[in-house]
Amino acid sequence: MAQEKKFWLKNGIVLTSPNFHGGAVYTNANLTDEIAAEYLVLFPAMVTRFSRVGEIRPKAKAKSKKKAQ
Amino acid sequence: MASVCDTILAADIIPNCESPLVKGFEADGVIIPRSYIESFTISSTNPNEVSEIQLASGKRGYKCIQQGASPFNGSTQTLNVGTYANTWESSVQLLVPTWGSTTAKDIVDALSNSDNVVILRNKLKNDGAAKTTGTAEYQIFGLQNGMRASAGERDANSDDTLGGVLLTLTESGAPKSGMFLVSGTAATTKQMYDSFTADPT
Repeated sequence: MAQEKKFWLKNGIVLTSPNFHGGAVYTNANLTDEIAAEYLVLFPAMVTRFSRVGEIRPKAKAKSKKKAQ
Repeated sequence: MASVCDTILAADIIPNCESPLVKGFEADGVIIPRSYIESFTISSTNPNEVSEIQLASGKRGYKCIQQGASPFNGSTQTLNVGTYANTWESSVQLLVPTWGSTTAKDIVDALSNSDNVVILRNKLKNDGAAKTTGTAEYQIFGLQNGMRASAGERDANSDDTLGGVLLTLTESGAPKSGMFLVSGTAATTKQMYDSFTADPT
């Protein structure tokens, strides 16, 4: 049995945006947790289209090269 | 004199040799309890097109598969002349191909007393009046007023139904003759259609 996904769209929802993965179309059939998390970082308001939401980690900022004095 | 909501003829009524009429429905359809629909979006360019139907969290639609040469045979759409406005009545006839306590509870009794939305797939894929393709396949019944059971029969000795339950679901008083699920490309619309029956667990 496939591991339960952490992110699950409400049925009927199709995720697609010209600014996300070149307009690729995602439903629960092909939406991975990684893609869902990436999508919600970019479009946090779209969380209402999900019935189940896992942990969302914004991309870490580049570490500062300055050393603490 | 035109009234406020009159629609005006806007296309030629001529056959399209590239998209000739084809009768009938495909064997598969989807039935969604109308109360499960959280929201739907009507196209801004065509009020007869629905670009999205969002189900409530944890809810799903159910497949309806009809065997035989003419699936959903007997399904019709009829104009009703009203005093102030004409409306459309749509009926979908389906055979429930199982019988027993679970069928009676979860299917027949449920459909007998509830409002539902039915999505059927026309064998006709393209609207000959349109310059784009794929706008005739996924027809939505009951989105406006809900499909309710208007007839039902089980004949245990029927050679036709083999003891299954024949149900007719009807939507009355709909202002539009037909509503269609059209979401971008044909492939996207298909993905949306397939997603209605996904197990939400």
